Amino acid sequence: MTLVLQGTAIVGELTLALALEAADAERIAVVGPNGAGKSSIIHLLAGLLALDTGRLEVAGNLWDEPDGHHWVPAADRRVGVVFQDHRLFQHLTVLDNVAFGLRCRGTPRRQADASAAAWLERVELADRRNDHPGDLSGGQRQRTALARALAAEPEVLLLDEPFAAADAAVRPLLRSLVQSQPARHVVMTTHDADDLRGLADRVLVVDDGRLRIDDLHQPAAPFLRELMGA
Amino acid sequence: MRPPTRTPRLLAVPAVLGVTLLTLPIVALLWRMPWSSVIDLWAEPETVDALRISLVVSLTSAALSVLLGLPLAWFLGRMPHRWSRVVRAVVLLPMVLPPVVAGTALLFALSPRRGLLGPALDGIGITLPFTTAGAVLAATVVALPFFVITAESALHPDADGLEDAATTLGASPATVLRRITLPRARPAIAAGAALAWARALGEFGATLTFAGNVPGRTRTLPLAIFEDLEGGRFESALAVSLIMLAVSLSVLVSLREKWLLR
Repeated sequence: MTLVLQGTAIVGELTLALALEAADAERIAVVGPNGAGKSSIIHLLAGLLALDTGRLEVAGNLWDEPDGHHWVPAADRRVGVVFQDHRLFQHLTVLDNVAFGLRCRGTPRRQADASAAAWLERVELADRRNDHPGDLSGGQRQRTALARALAAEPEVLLLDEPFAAADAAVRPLLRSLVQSQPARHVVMTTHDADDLRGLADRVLVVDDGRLRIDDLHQPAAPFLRELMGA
Repeated sequence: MRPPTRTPRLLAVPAVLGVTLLTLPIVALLWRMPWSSVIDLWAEPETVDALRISLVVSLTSAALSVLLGLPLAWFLGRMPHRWSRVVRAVVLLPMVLPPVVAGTALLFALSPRRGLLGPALDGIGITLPFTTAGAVLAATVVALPFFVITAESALHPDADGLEDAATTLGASPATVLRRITLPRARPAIAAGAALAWARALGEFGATLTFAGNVPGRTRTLPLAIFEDLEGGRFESALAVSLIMLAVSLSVLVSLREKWLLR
């Protein structure tokens, strides 16, 4: 197992009991009712939330272990996050948004811009590179957010309801981008049965702060059964 | 369409009185203005001197307010709540404190003879009361809170998670500050600087108390107006007032997006 997240995290009123293990290249989908703590799992992996007990290990590197006072800050984790609310930088152009991660990690401007432009091409936003996120539609913003996360060449790709705002027409394109990108791990939350079928190797159901591995084809959790229309 | 709002008519009386109270003095000022000789009055050496000192003092004080206030506002949003409450109270106190008290307090802090730090400063050759630097200090004490309070909300960490997003993309704390926090706060920083400058320009009480009314050194425009009125030079007082009125109006116009158009 190259991704191990176990222990507990207290998030507001909720105590998450975590048990998640994933092998290389395995794509994990996290499903569950609203407020169950799905986004918190993304934030724990990203380094925006800390564990209260237990440990988080990725590819043999300890990222978070409160007992051992281990903490790798978000900036040093090489994650790419697509936030549910996109969190695009409103004061930067679409191109600068997408180039941001590479620039932060020292790629020269010209090279970072070229790479960002290529990503915008892939999400079919090449003609919007000089616009600001405020000028984009919800679906376009989501694609910008995905391009920004992927352009940073993350080892762990974290997607929080990544296609919720996307038009049905571009969803297959976005799914194929996520399928073909080279990150070691992908963890995504979703409410979409097609995302689950197309992208998830394993499904993790979060309910009442507890995580359970479930089977996509023979779901045990009522929530997943309903989601898959079974 | 919304139906017309019905209001108790009686409310209109004090409301109109209020607006009158605020406009009447301005109207009177303009009515009495010696328009034909205004330019000559501005060219008087005393006025030119006061204008120069006012500009030096207010601009330096606005710059100091930004320099000290920006980090202060940044930390205010990030320190534990029980500390930020105390610090905020200390920062805001000069906004409600009578400026003459602020000036008196400065005197007892920095006077070479009676001040807390004054004798030590005097020992290394620094004297502040009744100097231009002292006037800058007095103006900064009253102007700084205006900057901090305006900039603070814009520098508040991450209500919208953008700083977090930048961090996950590999941004160091310095990069987050330089590329996310400050650019986003730029309008508020500009507004705070304009307010601090306007407040410093109008400073009277603390300056008079701490820095005195020394022509060519600490006599700023407001002190010049006071001096003119004392000496019966009403036309000069009006002409100098016009400068300050124009400055105030332009600050108001520059802040219109923040205050007027909402």
